[in-house]
Amino acid sequence: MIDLLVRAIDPAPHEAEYWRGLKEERLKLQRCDACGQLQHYPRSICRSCLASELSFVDAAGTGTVFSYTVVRRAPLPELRALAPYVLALVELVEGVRVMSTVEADPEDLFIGVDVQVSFRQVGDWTLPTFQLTGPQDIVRYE
Amino acid sequence: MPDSTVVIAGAFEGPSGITGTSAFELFVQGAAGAMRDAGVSGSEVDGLLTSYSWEEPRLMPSDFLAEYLGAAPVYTETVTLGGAGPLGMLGRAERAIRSGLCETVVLASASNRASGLGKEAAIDSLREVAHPLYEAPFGAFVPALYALFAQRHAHLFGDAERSMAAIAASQRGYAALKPGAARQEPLSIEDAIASKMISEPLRITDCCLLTDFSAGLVVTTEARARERGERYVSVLGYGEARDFDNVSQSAALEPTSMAAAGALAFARAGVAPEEVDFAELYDCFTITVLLTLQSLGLCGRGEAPPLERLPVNTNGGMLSFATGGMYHLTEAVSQLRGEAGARQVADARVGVVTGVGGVFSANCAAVLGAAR
Repeated sequence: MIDLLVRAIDPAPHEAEYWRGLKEERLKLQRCDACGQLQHYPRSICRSCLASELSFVDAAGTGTVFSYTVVRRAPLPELRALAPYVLALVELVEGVRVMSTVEADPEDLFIGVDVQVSFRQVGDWTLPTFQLTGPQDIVRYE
Repeated sequence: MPDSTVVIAGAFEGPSGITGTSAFELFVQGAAGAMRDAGVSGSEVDGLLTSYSWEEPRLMPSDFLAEYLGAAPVYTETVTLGGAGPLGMLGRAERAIRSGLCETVVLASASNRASGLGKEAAIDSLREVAHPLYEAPFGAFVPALYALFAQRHAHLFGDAERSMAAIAASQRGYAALKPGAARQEPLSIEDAIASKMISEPLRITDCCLLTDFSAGLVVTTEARARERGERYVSVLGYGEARDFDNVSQSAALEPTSMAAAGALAFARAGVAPEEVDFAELYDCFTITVLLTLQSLGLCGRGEAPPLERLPVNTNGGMLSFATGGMYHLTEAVSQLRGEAGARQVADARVGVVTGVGGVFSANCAAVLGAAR
């Protein structure tokens, strides 16, 4: 599916550990050595204090859907082949947001639903996607 | 203080639709038309600002246009703010004039994306709106990214389907009165709600057109404009704000910086939101209009659009007239000059105009007033 969308992943040196982590099925977040701020996507500097000494920590891999959309019709050929698909902004328990997809029946999705990370091999790369967590017996928003 | 007031002394709408004209020629037509309207020649132009052209990139597009128009400006700039470019240009022109750097600034915005690039290539170029590594691989293209805002809004305030459909239907009604509008056939709220789903909750009628466009403005001092009569419009206040570029980095997934831009523009104008007679709001999607109305304080957060008491996008906007943020400004000028024909808002004295670049990334607002 999403392999159709990956055009050219060419991580910079400061991103390499994030992408290596995905291959090991670990979702890593960047943490500033100086001020402790977490950030995602990885940067060469801390967006909070501008320090250039940053490390990576493993995310728990759980979170909730902050917003999502079900793309029913897409304007480009490679996207059209995927529709319907879900684009989701996931808020991790660490408070950091990740743009991804939730691999679930769109009917089971709502804002606030619990999700956990999964990993999808795409050519030479691995991308983080999300799955619904456990049985769904939660009140839906209408 | 008439001398310190910056005004729009000329405005022109060039061709839109599918023109088969080069992008550069559309820039020329927009700029030259506005200069003729203002009665200024190239030798009087000391500032020239253009939007960027992804169809025909050049190293120094503003300088080429200046040369072509016979101008030798002391200030040129190509303003790369996406859909907020025209408003951004107005803000920069106002500042250049207020600072004493320039007296007569020409703004031009044009594109031949429909006839030159074609629909698919034009949409493909919008892929750049998403981060190439951390967003785009998941199918984060433009309608879907605005849909994330719309879903979040629905989660917080309830379904906005009918509000968005009302905006689409209302603008179609204005487009029927706008010569040259791309879509003039009637569209009811029910039609809009029944139209095909694109990216939930956005339907096809929630999405703007993709057309060529060409428009220009001449911005100068009120004193200068007065020498040529009363057909000018005052720039009462301008505001611009941003707090993220990529949607995944937005703190609230709400257009908080549009609220900031609007507050700046209204404060500088000394005008309250409830005092505006009409609004020309950037409308890449209906949700953009709805959230902008709320952000500017033209209605309350989560409320339906106040279309009965406030005319919004009186030329049909990008949803029904033509693509291009400059047309929001040219329409406001028509309204404030009393030249909007069948679309004329009675006693239009003050209007607010917005521009949005990216996905609520760059947000600009201007409050414009009729000549006093």
